[in-house]
This record gives sequence, structure tokens and C-alpha cells, in this order.
Amino acid sequence: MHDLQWKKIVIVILVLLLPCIPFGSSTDYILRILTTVYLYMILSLGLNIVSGFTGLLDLGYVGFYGIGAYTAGLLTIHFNLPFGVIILLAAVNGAIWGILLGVPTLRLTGDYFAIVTFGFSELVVLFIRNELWLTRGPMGISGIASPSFFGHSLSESWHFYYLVLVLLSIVLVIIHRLEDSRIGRAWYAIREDEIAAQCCGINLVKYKVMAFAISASIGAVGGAFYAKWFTFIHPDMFKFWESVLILCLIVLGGMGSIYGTMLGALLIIPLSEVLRIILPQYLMNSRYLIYGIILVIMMRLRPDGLIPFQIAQSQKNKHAQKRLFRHHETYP
Amino acid sequence: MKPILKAVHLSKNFGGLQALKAIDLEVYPQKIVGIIGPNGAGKTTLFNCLTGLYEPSGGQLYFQDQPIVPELSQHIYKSIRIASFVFGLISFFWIGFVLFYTYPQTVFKLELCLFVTFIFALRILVIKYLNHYEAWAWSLYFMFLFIDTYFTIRLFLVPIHVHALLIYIWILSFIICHGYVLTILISFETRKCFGFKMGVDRISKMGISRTFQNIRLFQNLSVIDNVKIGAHICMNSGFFSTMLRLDSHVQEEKNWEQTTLSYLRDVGLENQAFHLASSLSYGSQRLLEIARALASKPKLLLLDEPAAGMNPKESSNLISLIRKIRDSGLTIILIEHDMKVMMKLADYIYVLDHGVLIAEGSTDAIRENPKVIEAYLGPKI
Repeated sequence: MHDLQWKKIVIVILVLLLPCIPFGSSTDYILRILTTVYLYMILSLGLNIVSGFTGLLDLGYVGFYGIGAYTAGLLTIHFNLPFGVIILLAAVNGAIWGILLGVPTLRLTGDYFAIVTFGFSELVVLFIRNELWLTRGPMGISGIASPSFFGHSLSESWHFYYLVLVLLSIVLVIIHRLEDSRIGRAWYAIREDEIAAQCCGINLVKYKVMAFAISASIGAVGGAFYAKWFTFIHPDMFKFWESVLILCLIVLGGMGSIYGTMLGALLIIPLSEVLRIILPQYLMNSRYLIYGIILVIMMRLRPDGLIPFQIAQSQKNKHAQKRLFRHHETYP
Repeated sequence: MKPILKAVHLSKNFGGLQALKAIDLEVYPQKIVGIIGPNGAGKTTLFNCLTGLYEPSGGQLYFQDQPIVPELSQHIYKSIRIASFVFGLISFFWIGFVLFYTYPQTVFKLELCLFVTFIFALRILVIKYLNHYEAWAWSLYFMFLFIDTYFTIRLFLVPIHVHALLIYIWILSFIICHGYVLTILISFETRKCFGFKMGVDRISKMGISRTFQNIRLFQNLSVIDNVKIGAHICMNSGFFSTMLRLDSHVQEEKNWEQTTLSYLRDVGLENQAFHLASSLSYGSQRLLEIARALASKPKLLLLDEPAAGMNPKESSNLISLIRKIRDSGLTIILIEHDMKVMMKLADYIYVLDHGVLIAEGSTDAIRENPKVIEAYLGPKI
């Protein structure tokens, strides 16, 4: 067995054992922070498809997050569907809106595209705030029932911890499979060089829309989980700041590398809690300043993020080479 | 033997500059055709037209007797003209007719007659500019479309006793004429006119593949991934088979891993298969571009200065490689400044200068041609 597989097993066991370790009275608190971390991992993995793999700067990702959350909230309140169905419907709804946004904006490039996506997220918030008949506007939706499985309603923190872990692993598996396939390579090709990608027979429109739809549906899944977990949603939760935060996670971790984005979430999200404890009351709001300083320092020391795309790629290539080498006695 | 690629009066303008002036080319299968000419002669522009990156301003391109550039200039213009003529003719009577039924007492007033004439003139004008794909004409056209739709609905609501049959014929003709124009509007060729570049990937699916003068590799990906992207059109696993990792997908990936390695072996890069493309030397990057172009199993290969920046040994290897590719059944069009390489390889040479085809012939004929010598060395003093 390889070293890497051992490492993987150890990490998985640690993650699974975490809720069992008693932290005294603060267990709930720590589990809740970890759940947030995993939620942001899901979101940053989703955004990574558009911004990291395909190379389109998307500032409106939180729009899909909001769409997913409201889909889940409304479906629970009005129909009380089972959790699995809600997650699926939220993903489908997110994908539909992703396609609707993607198709007309595809001709834009670079900054113009970013501006349009930014406008989209603001549009979502405005819609939610103003369409009282559907979303109850600024009052928000409260009392969203927790998901229940086989008659047991989830209530404890560790229930949600495992739930988000399951979602995260599903998303992770899907993204891993897509990344190392024809579709993922087409995305990389579009990011690296659009003209060469076209000359290789890649239909830019199709693959950009696909990236958009998948990314949007993952964001909507994150939103649906958030609505079910928090049991209360409000238009202010889906403000532009959230988009920037998720983008920061990706930039910090390394655009385009899966483990980099996860590492980014693992570092930044607990940091806000740590700062909340460390900083005195009157310096509370300066923790955004510290985010900024950390980002600046990171960009100075490692401009491509913590795990740059190139390093992740060469690591992957080493494994591919080893795998081929195992099958052939001689070098292929 | 039929030519695999044929260009008829191909021309390309950039604003006032004519980059290509009425080029006629014929490329026969399993031949190496060279294109030479001084810098700025329009060689790369020709390649860009062939691969669909540029849309030619005039002329036609045929690949295996199929037009590469959709024949929008003739075909679409004609159908739009016919459709819009019908549309204009009908619309002349349309408003008067509707008004006659809806407001019978006002029909024969002078102002109304003038108004209808004005609308008619406007519509004719719109039709004229519709052919030139003017944005304002199309927007006006849509305005008319909505007005017509409104009146059609209106006509349904009016109590009809006498000419019921006539009205239904009218509505039918309305639907037919607008439907026709709308179909043209959403067709591929017209979308292309509005700036959607739909052509390039379709052309590469037809079997034309190219390399670039300034290397355009996917620098941050591994060498083998570059070749796999080149093989994109030969693979067909979609989203669901990838996500569920179906057997077909796994098998395809496995097969193509071997095939791409064999392509890399052909160009002599199999030892660097898992390195990043940016880590290769300049000559190797050129070879990798050739391997990537070959991976899509093309019928016609366009090589844009493959020997640029290579030392004599490397370029002699390249010559034998290109010969081998030709012998495996491909047709090659070659742009090259290195005359030694060109004279050794080419079966037939076209010489371009300032967008004009100044000479064509076999290598010996080109070497002796006074026009070519003049283009390269300047006129005799």
C-alpha cells in the first residue's frame, strides 16, 4: 500500500472520530464551526469549477447559494418533502438558473463577465427582498423543519456534522471524477487557451454552460443544507460579501486545485472564530482587517495560493505515471 | 483525383487592408503542399480562414466537397430576401385590412392612407437592411412582428360574420411569413453573423487540425493531458457516464491513455509524458503541438512553421516525422521559412506576397521563378 493511501485513511478516521471526542461543554460549539467549515468547502469546491477550472471570474456565486436555500426553505414550508428530494430539486433549480445566466453572458470575457455575475447575485437578493408573495421578503423564512430520516428528526450538532460530511464527500467524488475526465480537460483547455481549445474541437459554449450549471447546482446544494441546518433564512445572508469570502478561500488555497480550496476553507473559517475569542470587544470589527492582512501576506509569499494548480497537477501526474508503470514491466 | 481542399477566390479584409486577395488553392490527398512568402504575406491569415478562426470576406472553401464556411453569402441572403419580400408585400395590405375590420368608419381617411404608406416604406427599408444584418433593422423588424401579433390577436376578438374564411387565411399567411424569417434568424448561419463563433470546433470535427506559429500549448497541464485534449472529439463520454464512472467511460480513458502514449512515442516525447508542457524545450513544444494535432485523427494537417527555432539535427528529424505522417495517409499544408526543409518536403508550392498568389508549381519551378526571387530579394537594380 502506498504512503498516500495510508495518509488518506488516517485523515478519514480522524474526521469521523471528531464528534466522539468530548470537548466538555464546548463540543457543540466546535462541531458547529466544523460544520460551517465543511459547508464552505462545498461552496468553494463549486465555485472552483467556474473560477478555477474554467477560468471565468464569477462574483455572483452567492446568488445560487441563495436560490438553493430559498428552494429548500419554500419546499419544506409548503410541501414538507423529504430531505433527499429537496436537495435534488435545489440542485436542479440551481442548474437551471446557472444555464439561464450562462447562455447570454458567454460572449463576455474577463471583467465584463465578472460584472454581470455580480449583477446577478444582487438581482437575486433584490428579488428575494421584494417578492413578498413568494419569499416573505425582509421577514425571512423561519421555522424550517430539520431534515428527518426514518422518522427521526435531526437535532443534535453531530447529526448535521455527519450530514454535511456526506454531502461534502459526494461533491468531492463528483468533482474528482469530472476533473480527471474529458470534461475536466476541456475546462482546463478553455482556461489555458480558448483559441487552441476551439481548434481541438471543444465547443466553448457547451462546456462553459456545463461548468456554470454544475457549479450552480453545487452552490444550491450548499444553500439547501444551510437552510435546513439554520432553520431560518433571510435575504441579508446572501449578500455580495459572501461571494467575496468564498472567492478568497479559493484564491488563498490555490485556484483550480481541489485540496487547495478545501485547505483555504479550513484555515479562514475557523480564523474568524479564533479572532472573535482573541480580540478584545472594541477591536471586534477589525477582524476583517486581519483577513486582508493575511491575504496580502499570502500573496506576497505564495502568489499562486497555498497549493498552486501546477503543484497539484504535477502531483497527479506522478501518480498517473506510477500507475502506468505498475501495469507495464518496462517503461511504456 | 479530387482535391481534398479547395479554395475559390478566397479573400479576407481587415478594414481597409486586404490580407488575402482572391486566392485559388487546390490540395490533393496525401500530398505535402507548401505555402511560402515574405513576412506579412497572409500565410497565417490563410490558415486562420481554413480553421474558421477568421471568417473570409469573400470566396468559398471546400473540404472534401463540403463548404467549410457556410454559404451564408449566397444562400441565406437569397432566402432572407424572398421571405422578407413576401413579408413586406403582405404587410402592405395588412394594416389597412385590420383597420377596415376593427374601425370601419376611419378606413378611407387621408391621414390613415399616408400613415399606411409610411409604414410600408419603413418596412421595405427594414427588409433592405435586414440583408446587411443591421441591428436597427432587426429591432424594427421585431417591433413590426409584435405589432402584427397584436393585430392578429385583435382580429380574433372582433366579431366576424362575413369574411371569416378570409381572416383565417390571413392569419395563416402571417404565421407562415413570420415563422420563416424567425427560423432563418435562429439558424446556425445567422447566429454566426451576429458574432457567435460556432464554426471552429465544427471545422475541427470535419477533420482539419492545425499547429500554431506562436506556440499555443496548454502550458500548465501535463504533456499527456495536452494530447488527450487533442483527442477530445474522438472521445464521447458525457457528464453522466463520467459522474457515475460507467464502464464505457473507464474503458475509453484506459484505451486513450495507451493511444496518446503511442502518439507521443511517434514524436519522441514519451519520456516526458508526465511533465508539465511548460517545462519542455522549445523544439519539444513544437513536436507536442504536432502530436496534439494528430490526436484528433485529422484528414488534413496544417503546420504553421514547425521548424522555427530548431537546430539542423532536430529539423532533419522533423522532416522524417512529417514524411511519416504523410505516408500514414494524411494531407499536409506547410508554412515554413526554412527553405531547405521546404524544398525537401513539399510536393507543390504556393507563393504568396501581400495577399496575392504570385506563383505556384513544383519545387524546381518555384526555385527558378523570377517573380519569387523578386519578392524575396527585391527588384533588380
